[in-house]
Amino acid sequence: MGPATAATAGGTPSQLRLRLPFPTPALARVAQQVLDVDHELKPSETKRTITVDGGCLHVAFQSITDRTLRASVGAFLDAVLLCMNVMEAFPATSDPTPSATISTA
Amino acid sequence: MIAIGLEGSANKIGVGIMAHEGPDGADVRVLANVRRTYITPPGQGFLPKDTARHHREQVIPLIAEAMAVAKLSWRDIDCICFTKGPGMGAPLMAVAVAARTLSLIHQIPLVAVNHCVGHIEMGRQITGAQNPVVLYVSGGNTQVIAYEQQRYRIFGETIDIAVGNCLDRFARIIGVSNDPSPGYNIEQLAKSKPDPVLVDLPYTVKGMDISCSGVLSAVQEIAASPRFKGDKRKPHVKPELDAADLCFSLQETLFSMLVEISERAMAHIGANEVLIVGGVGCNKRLQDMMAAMSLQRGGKVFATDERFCIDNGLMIAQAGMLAFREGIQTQIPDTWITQRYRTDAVHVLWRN
Repeated sequence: MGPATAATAGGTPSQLRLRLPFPTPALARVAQQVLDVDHELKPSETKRTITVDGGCLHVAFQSITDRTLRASVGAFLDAVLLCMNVMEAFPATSDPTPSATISTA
Repeated sequence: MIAIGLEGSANKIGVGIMAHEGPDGADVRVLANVRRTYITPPGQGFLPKDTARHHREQVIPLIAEAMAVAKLSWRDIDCICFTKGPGMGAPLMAVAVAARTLSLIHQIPLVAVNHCVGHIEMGRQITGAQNPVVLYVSGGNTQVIAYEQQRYRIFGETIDIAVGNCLDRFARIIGVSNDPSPGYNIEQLAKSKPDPVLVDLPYTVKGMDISCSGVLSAVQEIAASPRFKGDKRKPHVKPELDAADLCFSLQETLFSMLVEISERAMAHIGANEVLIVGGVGCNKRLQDMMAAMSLQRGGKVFATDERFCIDNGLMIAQAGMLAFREGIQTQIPDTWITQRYRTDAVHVLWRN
């Protein structure tokens, strides 16, 4: 997991950006698809955006308070960790070719 | 055709692998059924965050164990089934993340399953019940269900807390162990005395529905009263009631209510079979009471043992497989979990 860059204004809202490098672009895209499905429990309080750039997952959070931001980021990182652990425990037997794309089932 | 099912909507996380073989998939084989239970200390219930952590820790070892028991590789799996809901949000999410990841990594289709339908289809498969009235009773659900026109219709249900939740919370009040489950320990206490006292408790059937919160409050009041705790002014006098009496009384009251609404549904539908599913369906006293009622009506009662009536991955694989064979797949963007997923929201394509 890469460095996190925090940019918190003196007051509200609270913001946080994460950059998570993955071994391959394909795995980063898998992670994006897995994690982008479930919305934040309270969209009025926290907004989350996930994008992929090459092998990096970029996640931007914006929340009304530090407390709600911390809760969302904590839950998200738990999900990222589980996703990565599953990838590691049950890898695909053949590596994708450079032109391969992971399609949705 | 082989399916792997992942279930983790409450404090149990299970992985099941099932094969449907033969020309119409009628030959059903259980290849693996592994499960872990998150057990809290006596007096405590399980909370979503802690339960989710338990499930995140266990899901990978359980999947590996199931695949090893079944002696399969991922190329052998035709679909991955997981619980979409209902249940606790964070535990459901943990299982869904694992299911999605596996689906994308190995290019295996996903099927999102309703937890209640999982119980029903597993119950039907194991018992061979054809078209029963289904009593689905657990810690999170209490419903009387009958199938009609491709829906599992809810004819009656609890209007507040589930029967299993009532039992579990009562166990907390009197400090009964949560291992292997509070419901099981209540059952053992209830039958531990040859002549237990039947305490009068509210009987709250409302047509086809029941209410459990008043019963819980009443038994809670008794558990806090001198009848159970004893009188401090007379320490030498033994209390009138003990844990066995309260467990016995609570079971007799709640289960009689369940029998009544099930019988009312049978009469309404003209059915002569009852299938009990869900964790409380393990209870032998409930099975006996339901059997007595069914026998009087010239019918039969079906129940499964604890391998299948308690939440398990196999029931999700079974329901998911039935849906998958009818062409149902869930696209990744639609695999969001939901804490509320009504039984009658599912289109039952696999039945006539």
